[in-house]
Amino acid sequence: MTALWDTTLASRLHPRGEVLDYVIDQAGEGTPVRVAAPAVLEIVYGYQRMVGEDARYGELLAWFTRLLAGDAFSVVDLDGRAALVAGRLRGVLPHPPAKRDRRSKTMRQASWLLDIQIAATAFAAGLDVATENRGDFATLGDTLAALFPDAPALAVVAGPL
Amino acid sequence: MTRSASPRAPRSEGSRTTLRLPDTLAVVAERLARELDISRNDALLRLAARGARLYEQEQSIAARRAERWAAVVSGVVHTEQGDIPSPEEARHAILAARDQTDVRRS
Repeated sequence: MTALWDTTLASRLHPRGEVLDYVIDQAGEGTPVRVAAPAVLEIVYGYQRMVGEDARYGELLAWFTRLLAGDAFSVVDLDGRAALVAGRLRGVLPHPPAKRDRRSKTMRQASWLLDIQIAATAFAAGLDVATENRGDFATLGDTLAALFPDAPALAVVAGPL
Repeated sequence: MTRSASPRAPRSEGSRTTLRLPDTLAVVAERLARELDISRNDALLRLAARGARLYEQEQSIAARRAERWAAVVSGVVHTEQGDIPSPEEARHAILAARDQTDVRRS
């Protein structure tokens, strides 16, 4: 698979579940799942902010930390090229597409910025994006195509499971 | 089970080759052969096929990465002759964006 997992897919990683089995199988095959660094940020942020009110999230955080440290999956960094592409994307699409969303405007804005970083990371790394949020990433892909018409398009695909 | 009892690989097309097998690869091939109950040669072919598939995938990703980057940095820019914002305007455009202001109107 040549697609980069976004947060909607990577957030399904759990000690009990078929997603972890899939990730471990892929690592064993020598084709580790690729996860965008900003998705790692979102996952860890989600767990960390819950630790104060629910200690179980501390356990989950420790598990995820060990998983990452054990190279069970490959983290694709937001490098200089990706940062340049992300800045151009954000300049054209500063706000997320309007839709029904129970999150605060600030949180939606923060998530949107991370989605931009994930799309740019995939684009700059020569990968596609695998996501459950295909609408927003299709918008980002269309904008990349408009910004860089000579570049191979960013495909937005569903997850493997 | 003896080695001779291993199922033979299906007859395959392609040119024959002779090569010297490094010890490390021989160990892995022997292990895979035992695991799948196939001949060492067949195990070597499977390892090579998997390696070739990975190599092709990596090459394809690297090519697309380069092609996309070439599209991002296309064209030559001559800042000496071009009409560009002053250093103050340029810095303001960057820092004003932090305050969510619309810098195009400022």
